[in-house]
Amino acid sequence: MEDATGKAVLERARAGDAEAWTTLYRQFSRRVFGLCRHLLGSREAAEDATSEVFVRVQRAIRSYDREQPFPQWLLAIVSHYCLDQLRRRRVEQRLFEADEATLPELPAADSSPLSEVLDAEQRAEVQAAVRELPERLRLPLVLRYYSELSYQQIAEQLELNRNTVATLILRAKKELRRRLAWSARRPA
Amino acid sequence: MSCFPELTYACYVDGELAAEEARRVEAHLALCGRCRRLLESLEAENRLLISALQEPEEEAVGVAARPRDLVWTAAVVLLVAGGLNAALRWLASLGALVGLEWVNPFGEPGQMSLFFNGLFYLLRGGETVLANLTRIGVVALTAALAVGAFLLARRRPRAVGVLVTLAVALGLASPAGAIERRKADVVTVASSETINESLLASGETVNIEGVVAGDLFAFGRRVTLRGTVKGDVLCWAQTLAIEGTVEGNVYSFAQRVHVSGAVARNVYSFAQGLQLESAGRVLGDVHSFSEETVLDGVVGRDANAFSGSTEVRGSVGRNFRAATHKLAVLGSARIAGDLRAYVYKKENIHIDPAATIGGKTETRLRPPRASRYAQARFYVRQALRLVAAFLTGLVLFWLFPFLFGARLETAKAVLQTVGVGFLVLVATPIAIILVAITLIGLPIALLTLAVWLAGLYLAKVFVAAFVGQALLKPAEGQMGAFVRALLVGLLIVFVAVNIPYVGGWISFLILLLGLGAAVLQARRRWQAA
Repeated sequence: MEDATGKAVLERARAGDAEAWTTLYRQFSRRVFGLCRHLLGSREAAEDATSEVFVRVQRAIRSYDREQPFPQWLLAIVSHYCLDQLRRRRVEQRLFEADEATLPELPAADSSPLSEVLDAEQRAEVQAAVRELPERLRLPLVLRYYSELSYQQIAEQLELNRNTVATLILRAKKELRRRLAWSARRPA
Repeated sequence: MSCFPELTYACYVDGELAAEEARRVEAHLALCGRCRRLLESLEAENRLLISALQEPEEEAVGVAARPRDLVWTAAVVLLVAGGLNAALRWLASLGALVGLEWVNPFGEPGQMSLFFNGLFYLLRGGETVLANLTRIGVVALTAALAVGAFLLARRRPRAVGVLVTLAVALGLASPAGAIERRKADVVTVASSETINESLLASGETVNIEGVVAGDLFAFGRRVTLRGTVKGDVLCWAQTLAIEGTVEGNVYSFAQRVHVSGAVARNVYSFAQGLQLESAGRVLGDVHSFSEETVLDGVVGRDANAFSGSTEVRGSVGRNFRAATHKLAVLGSARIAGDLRAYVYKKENIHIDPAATIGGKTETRLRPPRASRYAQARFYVRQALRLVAAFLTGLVLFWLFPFLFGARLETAKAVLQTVGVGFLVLVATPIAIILVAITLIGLPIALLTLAVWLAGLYLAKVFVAAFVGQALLKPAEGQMGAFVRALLVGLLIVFVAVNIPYVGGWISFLILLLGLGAAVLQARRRWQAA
């Protein structure tokens, strides 16, 4: 989207050109869907969210700042929408407990960082493991490594402080290591 | 200097350390091999996470790729349908298969025979049969409900609760017909044995030497009846031999049927070959849908043969009618009523002058059936239907545009929609009956019936709109673009449902898909509101 044609498409989309929107949808729906899927957990919810997000993007396109990279702006809307959905699922309006801020770091287990092995099956396994993480670990992890937000941006979205985000991300990784190591040892 | 905690390295790898702290970490890393290794694996871990998360799962791929997939699928379906059609035509051109026309459930003879025989069966078969059919219906419905429950399970736990309750209620309500089941390699009812109810026998060989007081349902490679069945016989076998007595009707789907015993009522035979032996007698009618029919024994009333070749050697109490390729009436034949024969060629009829025919003899040449596709009337009618569907679609789009917003991007979505369509198709009439029984609900029942019937008609309009939109990709909400898409979609749908042989299936599928899509869209709209 950084190139000239991408800019042109965005301009046309801004002007309400349907074809440009089709192009945008085709180009980004996978990415949007992926984030929704990771954040919301279920495929159906992610499908609904994807279409809803595009409706919102269409409405909000006028406020898009041309200087900002479009994907980043788009994914911010997506995560905002998804977090909102998650909040609505709860009785309380907060995703995180207040005392999350003072998380003690977990004792360093002997779990070593995941080694870099990725065939399709393992990728699916990692994705499944991410999906099974508790929400408070999953959200920061996904926002960091899918949306590629900074700790500070994540902290703002999740209404946490930056250090907590760092701790939660590492805990999420440790939890993944534990689960994936367990599944690797599991007899076939 | 001591090692930093893992959290620090994790932040470093994420580029989240302040410049000063990052420098201290780097200074330590220069000296500490253990921490360097930890750092490397943390970096590898990040790459893994990014790559694993970034790649959308396979199941999501459909989101972007749908229109082309759809076109491909449609092309493949049309190609397969075309091939199948050509193959069937070629087989039909060989001529031997005229007698098997009924195999094609969408051909007229097939529909007629299935319909009438089904009707006869229900009318004359008695309560047990009805009870058994009901039970099969209940099982099918329960299965449909289970499928629906499965499909809904993820989204609407409450709806599943209702469905499960309904299924359980149905299960409890299923009538308990008296039926005995026997299953073995060889099922034998000994000559000394009497079964006081209906018997469901399945096995490689089924021998009935004794008495079955109810109906006999037999499934086997070889079914032989030497004893007595007081009810009907329904048989699915490679060879069925009736040497004993059947006091009811015989319905057989078999490769070969030999009747050398007595049947008190009618024989309906769907077989490759039906042979009524010289000792055999059927007091009622014989309806034979076979490749080869030989009537050597006695038929008490009418005999109808729709077969490739037909031979009469015995006697027929009333009229004899044959639509056949070859007909031979031998000298020993005695037909009390009329003889009517429909054949393609005159030279294929041989009626021995010595044969006794009480009534008129009428032979008619069947003109090679003019294909309906060769008649202008057919196209005019289709064109009128298309215009009607088109106008209906436009009005509907104008009134309820949301009904046309179905998205069928993945195979799963299609299956889900078809499942819902099936559920609506089957469950609605039942619901209507249940509501109508309560009298107060009668207006609701009638209204629902009207909506349901309208839905049956409109299903193809929805599917046509969807197909057209997938192909032309019109801008949303624009009437002009929609008009074009609908027209193109309707053309495709009308061609598809008129493909010989497979058109019926396509039409059924479209019905399910259209019903399902409309219901899902309406539900979505309702939820959003």
